[in-house]
Amino acid sequence: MAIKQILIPDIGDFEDVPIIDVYIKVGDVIASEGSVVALESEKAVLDVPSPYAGTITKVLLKEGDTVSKGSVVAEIEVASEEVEQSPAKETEKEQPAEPKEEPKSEVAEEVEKPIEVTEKQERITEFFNEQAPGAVYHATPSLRKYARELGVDLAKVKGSGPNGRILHEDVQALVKKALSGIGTASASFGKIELEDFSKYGKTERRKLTRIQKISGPHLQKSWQIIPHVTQYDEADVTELEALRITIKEEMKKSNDPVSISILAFIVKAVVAALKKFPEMNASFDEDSGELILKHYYHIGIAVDTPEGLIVPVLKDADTKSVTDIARELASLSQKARERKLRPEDLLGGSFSISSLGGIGGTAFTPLINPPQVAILGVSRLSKKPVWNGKEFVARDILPFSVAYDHRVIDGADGVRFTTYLASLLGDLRRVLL
Amino acid sequence: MQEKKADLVVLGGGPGGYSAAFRAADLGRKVTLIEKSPVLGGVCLNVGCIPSKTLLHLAEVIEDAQKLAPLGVSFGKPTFDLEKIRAHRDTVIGTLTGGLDSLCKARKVERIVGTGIFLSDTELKVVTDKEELKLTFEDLIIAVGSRSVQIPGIPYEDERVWDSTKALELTHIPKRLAIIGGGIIGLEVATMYYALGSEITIIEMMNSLIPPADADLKQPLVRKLKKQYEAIYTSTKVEKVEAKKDALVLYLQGEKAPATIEADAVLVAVGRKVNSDGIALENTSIKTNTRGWIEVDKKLRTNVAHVFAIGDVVGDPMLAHKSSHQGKVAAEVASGQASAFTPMGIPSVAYTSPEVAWIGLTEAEAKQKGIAFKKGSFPWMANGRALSAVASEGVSKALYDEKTGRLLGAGICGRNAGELISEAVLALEMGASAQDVGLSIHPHPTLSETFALAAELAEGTATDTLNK
Repeated sequence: MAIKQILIPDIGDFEDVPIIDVYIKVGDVIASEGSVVALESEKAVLDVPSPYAGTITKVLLKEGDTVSKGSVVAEIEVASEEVEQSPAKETEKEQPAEPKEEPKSEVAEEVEKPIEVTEKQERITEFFNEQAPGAVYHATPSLRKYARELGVDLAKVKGSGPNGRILHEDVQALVKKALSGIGTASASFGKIELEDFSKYGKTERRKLTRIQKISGPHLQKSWQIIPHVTQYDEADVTELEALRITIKEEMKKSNDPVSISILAFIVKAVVAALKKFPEMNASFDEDSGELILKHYYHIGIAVDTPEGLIVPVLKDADTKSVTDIARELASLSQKARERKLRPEDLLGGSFSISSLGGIGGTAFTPLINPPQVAILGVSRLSKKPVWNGKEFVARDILPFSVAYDHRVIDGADGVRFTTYLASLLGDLRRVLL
Repeated sequence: MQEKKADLVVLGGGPGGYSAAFRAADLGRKVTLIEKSPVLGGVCLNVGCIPSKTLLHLAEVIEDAQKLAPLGVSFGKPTFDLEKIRAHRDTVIGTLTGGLDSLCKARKVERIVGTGIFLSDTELKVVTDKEELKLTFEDLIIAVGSRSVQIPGIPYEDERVWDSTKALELTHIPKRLAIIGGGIIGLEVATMYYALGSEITIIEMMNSLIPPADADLKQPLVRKLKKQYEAIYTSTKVEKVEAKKDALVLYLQGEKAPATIEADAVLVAVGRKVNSDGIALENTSIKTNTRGWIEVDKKLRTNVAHVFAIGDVVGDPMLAHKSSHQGKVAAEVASGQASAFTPMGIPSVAYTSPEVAWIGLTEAEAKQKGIAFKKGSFPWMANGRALSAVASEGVSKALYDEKTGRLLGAGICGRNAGELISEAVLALEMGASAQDVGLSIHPHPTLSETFALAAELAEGTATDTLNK
C-alpha cells in the first residue's frame, strides 16, 4: 500500500482549463483508468483517468478550479491487484438495494423460515438469464424468456448467430440434444417437485445407501439417454434342469464340490449367443456413429446386497467351463455381500445379466448398464403345461427378457437374439456348434 | 369488520399497479385493485410525467417561436391564459384516466377506492370511506410508490414552498423561482417556468446537474442553462428557508454561492422516499433495506413467496416505465409464467430543453468497471436536420464493447432525445454492434441519423465528419 498522486496529464496546448465535473470523493475505490475529473476544453469534454487503482484518500480539486499539466487532482492509496480486478464488487456497493444476483436458494430459505409455501413455489434450479453488458454471449429479451421457460442456462449455450448471438434454434438444438441423450448436464431439466406430505399423514426420512447414491445417476442416465426396447421370451429348460440336477448329484461326491446354479449354464449360453450376435456385445460411439464390437466376453452379474445392487464382472466367460463359472459366481457374490470386491472386479463388463428368478417374477425390464448396449433379465423358472402335439406335458419354463439399445439394435435382431438364446437353453448341445 | 377472500390483490393503482392488475386479469386471475385515489394512474399520470409534459410542450413551442424571430418570422410576445393551460392539462389527464377506468371494467378488475395495510403475510385491512374490510389473499403485488422527500429547515406550510405536485398546479407564475435540487424533476420544472417567464435559480448539493449523466452528454444542456438562468449553484446546500412577507429567503452554504438569495417561490425536488412505511409491513415478515426499499429477487418476489413488490417501492430508478414493466413481470410470475426482471438497461430521460436521455452503461460507469469500449460521439452541429430546426445544441454518443462490438450504452442530448433513445434501447437489448447500427440505413435528413453516425465514428467508417 502506497499513497500516489493523480496528476493532470499532458492535455495539449491548453492551460488553465476548468474542471466541470469531479467524479471521485474520499473513500471511493476506483479502477486503473477510471475517470477522476472532467475538463472542459474549447471543443470537448475530456475525462482524466487515474493511472492507478486504489482508494481515494484526498481530493485536492473541485468543480470550477482551473488546471494545467501536472496539477494534482487527488491522492490515492494504491491497492493490490485484487481491488483493481474486482469491478463487480463496486457495482454491488453502488446499488445496495438491488436484490442479489444469484437466485436465492429457495429451498434453503423455506427451511429457515416457515413462511407460507404455496404449490407455486418452484424448486427447480432457476436461470434468470440476465444479459450483462460486455458479456461474451448475447441473447435478446424474447430468447431470455424462452430459455427461462425451458430452464436453460444461456451461459452454457453456444450461439450460432452473427457475433456469437444465441438464436432460438441454438436453444432448441441444445434441448433436443439433451433429450436425445447426446448432451450431458448442459441443460437442467429440474427435479420432481415435492409436496408438504405432512398434511396427508406421518412421514420419515431415510438416507439412500452409499451404493444407491452412486448408482442412481448412472441408472438415470441410462434411462434418459438410451431408447430401451425389451424383448420378452421363454425357454424350455427341462433337459437343462435335468442335466443340472445330475451334475449337482455328481458334485456332491467330488472332492471339490460346487453348487451349480442354472445361472452358470445361462452365462455359457449367453456367450454363445453373443458370438452369433456380436452387436449385442458392443458399445456405441456416438461421436463417430460407430459400433465398437468386443472380442472379449466379460459378463456383469447383478448381485443383490444389503447395501444395494452391485454388478461384479465375470471375466473371459467364453474360456471358462460351467463349473468354473459356477465357482466364480459364488465367489463374486460372496465378496459383493461382504463388501470385499476390488475395483477391477467391477470394471470391463461387455454384457450384463440380472437374475431375479430366485426371488420371483414372471417378467421385467432390466435397465441397460452403459456403455453396454444390452442386458438379459431372468425371471422365475416354473413348471408349465406345454402341448407336445398329442397332450399337455409338464415342462420347466424359464421366462427371460433382453433390453437393448434401439439406436444400434433393430427389433428383428433383438427377437432373433432371444429366439436363439431360448434354443440354446433348450438344448445346450447347440453351444458346441 | 367484514371478511372477504381475494385471489390476487394489487396494492396501488399507479402505472406499475394497473399494469400488474391488467396483465394478471388477462392471465385469468381474479384481480382486486386497491387505490386510495378515485382515479388510477398514480403520481405519473395525475401529478407527474403527464401533466409536466403538457406544460413542457408549451415551453418547447414558446422557445421555438422565439428562435424564429432572428430568422424573419415573428409571433410577438406570448400571453398566457393560465386557466386554459390548466384546462388543457386536465383534459389530457381526464382522457387517460378515463381510458384506464374502461380498461379496468372491461377486464373485470374489482376496484376498491381505499387504503390497504397488512395484518399478516396473508391478510390486508382495507379502509374505504364506507367500511373496513379484512381481505385474505392468495397473491399480492405491492405497488405503493413514493413521495417527495422533505429536507429540514423549510417552512412547508407556506404556500410559496412547492413540491413537484404543487408546481404542476400552475396557480401563478412566480417572478423568481428557486429550485432546490438539480435533478430531472427540478430541471423540468425550471424549463416550464423559464418559458413562462420566471427567473430561475438552481441549487444542487452534488457537484453537477443531473448527477448520473456523463459530463460530455449533458454539456449542451448545462451550457445553455448557464446562459438562461439567473444562477446555478452546484456543490451547495440550503441551510434553511425563511418565509418573509414579500419573499422567501434561502440561506445557502457553498463556496461559490452567496449567503442568501431571495425568491418568490421555492420548489423542493431533492429526491423521493418510498411509501413502504404506510402499509404496516411490521405485521408481516417482508424485509426492507435501510432506505425502506422492499427487497425483491429477480422475479420481484419479496421474501414472502406470494407477495411481490414493484416500481418505486423497490428502489431506484423510480421511473414509470420501470414500474409498468415490473408490474407485468410480477403478474406473470404470480400466474406461473417463467418471467423475470432482467433488462439490460432502463432508459432515463430529462425532458429539458434540450432533452437528455441515456440507456445502459454511462462512460463513467464503463470506466469504473474497467470495461474496454470504443466510443462514437457525434455533435449535432454537423447534422442538417438539427441546424434547420435551430436545434444544433446536442450530441449523440454511444459506447461499444471493444471485443464483441456490441452496444454497451448510449446517450443523446438534443431535441427529442427522449424519442431518439428508443433506438438505442432496442439496439442494446438486441445485442446490436456498432456495425449493425451503422449498416442499418437511417433516413436523411433526420435527428436519428446522429445515432448511426456515432456508431460509424466508433467503427471508423463515418463520412459526414472526420474519423479521429
